[in-house]
Amino acid sequence: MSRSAGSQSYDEAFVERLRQQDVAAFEKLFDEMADLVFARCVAILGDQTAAEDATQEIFLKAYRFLPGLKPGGVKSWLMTIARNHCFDEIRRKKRRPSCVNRPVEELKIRTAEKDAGESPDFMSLLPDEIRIPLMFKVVEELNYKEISQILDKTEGSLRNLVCKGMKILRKELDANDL
Amino acid sequence: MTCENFSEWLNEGNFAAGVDELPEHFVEHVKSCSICQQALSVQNFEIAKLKKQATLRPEVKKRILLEVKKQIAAPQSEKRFSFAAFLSGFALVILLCSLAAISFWGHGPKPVAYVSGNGKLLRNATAIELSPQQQAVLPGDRLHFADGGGKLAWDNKDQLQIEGGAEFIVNENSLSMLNGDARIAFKPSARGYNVVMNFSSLVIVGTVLQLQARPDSDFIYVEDGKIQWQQKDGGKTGFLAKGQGLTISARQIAEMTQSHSEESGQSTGSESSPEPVLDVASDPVLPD
Repeated sequence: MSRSAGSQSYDEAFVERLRQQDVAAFEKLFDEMADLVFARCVAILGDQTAAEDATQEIFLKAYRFLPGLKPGGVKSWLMTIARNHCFDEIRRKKRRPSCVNRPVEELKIRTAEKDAGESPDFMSLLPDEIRIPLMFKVVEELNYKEISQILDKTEGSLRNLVCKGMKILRKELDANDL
Repeated sequence: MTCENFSEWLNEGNFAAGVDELPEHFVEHVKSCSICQQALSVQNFEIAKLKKQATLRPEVKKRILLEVKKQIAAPQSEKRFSFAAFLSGFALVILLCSLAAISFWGHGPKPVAYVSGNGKLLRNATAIELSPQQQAVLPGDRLHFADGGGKLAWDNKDQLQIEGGAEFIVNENSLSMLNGDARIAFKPSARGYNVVMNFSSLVIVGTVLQLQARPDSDFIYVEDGKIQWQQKDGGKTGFLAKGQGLTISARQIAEMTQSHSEESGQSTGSESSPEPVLDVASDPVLPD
């Protein structure tokens, strides 16, 4: 067994294969961790397309950093790369001047039919400061202490933000009859 | 324990997938209270909706892995820092810059991109047939893709696939579409590049587009991904997501220009002009 059941902790032999940039080991790591990395990217970036691109770039970066991988904590190592990459991406985005002054919804455009019961894009409804802790809590299932360490916020304020997020979500689901 | 206590607990940002995951002091009450059970299941329904939006689709996961493997197989540009390597790299950069400068001054302009496929490259009134082999595109060259299209790469990496018959000028960070119909699939690496049409410009966010450039209008349809579009002359701007299409015509731009000049007091008579409405394409047009 290269992986202990129920957690993403890998044995030393597997970590050594990763350090050697063994492609099969890397593919296994990708298979097991891509969903989690993508979820973190969606949480921070709030956009699925951008999260797909970020996931690709994060794994590429991770592959290049593999020779320096320390024993244990592969998951936290990868998730830290993901977090740093996404926050860098946000900073880069903020530096770029935006030319958006009118949402496309205000224009008369043809939109593809939505499937019945399809959810609205909750990510775009939630501001960054609410979306990030909410997604960390409900999607990554981190506890408040872990989120507080990542985001450098108190557990109390994180609880408030998560509650606000759930209220926004509930309102939106009610409005869409979901 | 009461319903009020349980509701308070939920409102403090606590979650539980089921009764078994609740703190011990709530279990008894929730098991016997249908209202609290309902509140718990509503919360779980909301969480499921959020989780769905953060789920990586299998086909996308597969695509990302393929792309990562492809880039891993390519020569690596990012390596671990070493001062000696940095110095030799620095020396190499200076050498390459010098060679590039010599090459530029001695042998003409540097290619802006590389193209392969079916069609013609028009350079100084000479037509060069395209082939499956990559051909350098110099500044000012015009690309005329015949049916079937081709591939265009900036910096020697495949960046986009063009299908259909259309004419383009390739610039350093953008592609100007002059006329014709085309379906363009951008790889994630092409993110940030622009497509400039007759009446609009589009910022690529990793996407598949169908485009028509006509003398009097541009038509844009997003098959996959998302783009940021802007009318030429600093007009309207916005995003188009998957499944959305838009026609931007010369008439609208003319109306808008007129509207702007009226607003700024250059016109007499009307108090305020109506906002120009963009035409809507009835159906996406797939190039043959």
